[in-house]
Amino acid sequence: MEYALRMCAITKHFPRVIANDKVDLTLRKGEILALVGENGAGKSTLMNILYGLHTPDSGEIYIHGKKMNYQTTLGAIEQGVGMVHQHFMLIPRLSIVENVVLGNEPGSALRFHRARAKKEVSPFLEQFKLEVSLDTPVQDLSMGMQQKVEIIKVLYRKANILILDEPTAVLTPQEIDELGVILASLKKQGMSIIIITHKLQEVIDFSDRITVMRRGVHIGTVETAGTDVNEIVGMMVGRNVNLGQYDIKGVPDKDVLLSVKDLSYRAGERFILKDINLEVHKGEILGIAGIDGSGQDELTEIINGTIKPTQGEILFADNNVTHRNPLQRRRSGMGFIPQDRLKHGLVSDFSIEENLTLGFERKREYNRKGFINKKNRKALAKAAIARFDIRTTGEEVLAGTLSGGNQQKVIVAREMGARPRIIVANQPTRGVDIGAIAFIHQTLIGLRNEGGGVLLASLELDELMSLSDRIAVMYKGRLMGTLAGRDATREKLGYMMVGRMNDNVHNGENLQTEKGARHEKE
Amino acid sequence: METMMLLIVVAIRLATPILITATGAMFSERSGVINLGTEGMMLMGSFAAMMASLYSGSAWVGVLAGMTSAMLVALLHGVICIEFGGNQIVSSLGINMFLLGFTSFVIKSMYGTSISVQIPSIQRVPFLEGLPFVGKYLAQLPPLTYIAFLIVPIAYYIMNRTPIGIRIKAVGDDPVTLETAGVNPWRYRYVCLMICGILSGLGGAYMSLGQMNRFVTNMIAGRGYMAIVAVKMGKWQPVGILLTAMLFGFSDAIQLQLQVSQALPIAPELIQAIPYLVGLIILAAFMRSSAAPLALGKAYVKNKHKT
Repeated sequence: MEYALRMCAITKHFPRVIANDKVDLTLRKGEILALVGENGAGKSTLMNILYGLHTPDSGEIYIHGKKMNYQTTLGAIEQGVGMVHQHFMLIPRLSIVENVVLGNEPGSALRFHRARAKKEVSPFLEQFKLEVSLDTPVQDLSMGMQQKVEIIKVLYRKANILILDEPTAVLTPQEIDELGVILASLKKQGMSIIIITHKLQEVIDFSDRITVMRRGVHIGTVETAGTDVNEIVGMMVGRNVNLGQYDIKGVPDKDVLLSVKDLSYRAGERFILKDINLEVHKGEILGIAGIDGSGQDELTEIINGTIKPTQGEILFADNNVTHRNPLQRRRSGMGFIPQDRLKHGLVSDFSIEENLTLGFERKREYNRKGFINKKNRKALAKAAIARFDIRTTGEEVLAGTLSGGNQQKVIVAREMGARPRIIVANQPTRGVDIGAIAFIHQTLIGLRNEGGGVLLASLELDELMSLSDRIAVMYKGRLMGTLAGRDATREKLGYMMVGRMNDNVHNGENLQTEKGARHEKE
Repeated sequence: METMMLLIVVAIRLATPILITATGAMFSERSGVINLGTEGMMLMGSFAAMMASLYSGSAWVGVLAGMTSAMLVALLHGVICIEFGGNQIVSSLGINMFLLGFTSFVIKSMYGTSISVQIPSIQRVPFLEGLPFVGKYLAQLPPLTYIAFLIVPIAYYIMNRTPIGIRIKAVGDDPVTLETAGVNPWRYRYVCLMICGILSGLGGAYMSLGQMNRFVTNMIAGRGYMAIVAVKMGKWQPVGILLTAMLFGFSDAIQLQLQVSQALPIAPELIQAIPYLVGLIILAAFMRSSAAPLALGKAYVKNKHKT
């Protein structure tokens, strides 16, 4: 067997953590290897070492059988290693061609040979079916197109080992399928590819082999053909977790708990949200789907009260709360799980105990004649840590030192502790380990089964489809439509997420012509 | 006509130091490094230019000394901010305070007052006088002004037609991206900051050798800050900066004219404030610009744990 790459006993320490502990990894020539593991498993560190961004403390790298000792990205690029990062390494204001050649510009230091650069880059654009001018600034491209530019950037540098870090995180389902086609064609050309991911379905779809890491250690490598999602999950978390199989009881009530009427939100001249109408019933989970930046963040923040809508109103349990502040809304039974837990959910320099009471200091159980009742607070914090399975050494531990999953559990514990009638959650499981995801899902379902409401905005379609009674899809600040949870498929949601109406979903060809016609008009 | 031409000449003369320094500051800001130290670097430049001109007897040696000294100050700012990730604003303001004190102290101890003796200077270009019509006006502009107007197209060329320009834009927007492309981002930040130092020194030397023929305590009087404002209003583009610098030059020239002619019954101190007022209004209007480099003011330190 010919190996394009072998990494042997790679060890890398960071202050206080071992990111990689004697990790081995092999990549065959012309295969797609999936590198999976939870957040903090050490996947990215390993790949950053391969790409020369980090220097390993010990261990060896062999590329095509030759021992490597480069310590910079330039060294890695010279050896044919290319990486497409999760956060694209593109300069938004520079054009496509400038981004592709950055660092390898044709011409001399004092003269950029633009014409030659264009000539060298344009064949790639054709290969990837990118029908835009090479002079287009990258900021005007969709995420899917930007990713293609990233891949072109790597190919331009003549890479034969391609690393993709979470390549599907920002893509729509259709773009993910397209990526699959591209990767297959690159593989045919002899490219060896590593995909870092935590979305397991893609792993099964794309890869030839799967390498699993956990807590900085290589757990095992299996042939994709001989395994299934459950086995991989088991390897990732070290125990059996059932994702997506929840005990959802009964049907939602007729009574409306929260309703949003003709809501619009404008920033300057631009509408971030336009004419949004939706309802959450008692005992219902309403999912909000959409590509990142479709207005979900603003919608959840308006419902929470941290930003004010330009138009429209919000009714909560038959009261108009449009002009109430967040504190008043929370007191009337609205819980909020924000998207960015460190920015809006927790104070990282506060202890778990303090974070658990944040915003509820005046409640009777925490308050004694205007002073904080520390004894009671501590007891309640201990109870919450036990009930919500927060893995920590004690309630005085600073929230900032917890893992993402445990931080999120602190927020969930606080919001649920107030016994809310509705929870508004924006990406509650983003960057959280699988065990915590399952726990958070169960908590939300528990609230639903007891007759509470949940508004769940998420970028993970699997999450939405397994939890929601109904799914509303947003596109560029508008509501494209609402599907019943049992009717929703990735395809239907995907089409609506890029602005196609629901009735066109089954007719792929029509869509193509419609798209063509629109382009001609423009 | 005569008055108009003179006003233009005065405006150009007054715009020159801001134009030179702002072009330098454009490089620094484009690379992502805030350098409010232009004020101190100009002051250092004008001071060193005076000293070198005094002891060597040649104004051009003075110009070189001004550029070199300010470049060294820029290097200090670079070590603090680029190497160690120090706060760019604090570092550059510290530099300004130190240099104001330092130059004032030396002048005071040399001459017992805040003004130096007269020194060899370069205020005119006599051989242009022979040209018909405009000759007598052109000759009144210092040679450094001509150099300043030459620097603008050079800066434009570098920013828009060379790989160096592409990389400068890249490091100012996102140094990580440049590093992953195999380019040393710190080198570009250093070079840009040094260019800023050299040009600030040139702008300062112009003050003591081109505008006047002596050094006066705090003679920069905020022009270094005006240059930063000009960069922002000029949207980080050489041509925009040229236009803004000229606007400052004109408002300064008009202010001078109003003071001399005493046309308005207003205290001269208030009239003197006109150019600064213009700067303040512009700053308020253009502070939040999408043209700003995205990583402006953000430190990027080598070997830091990146996630």
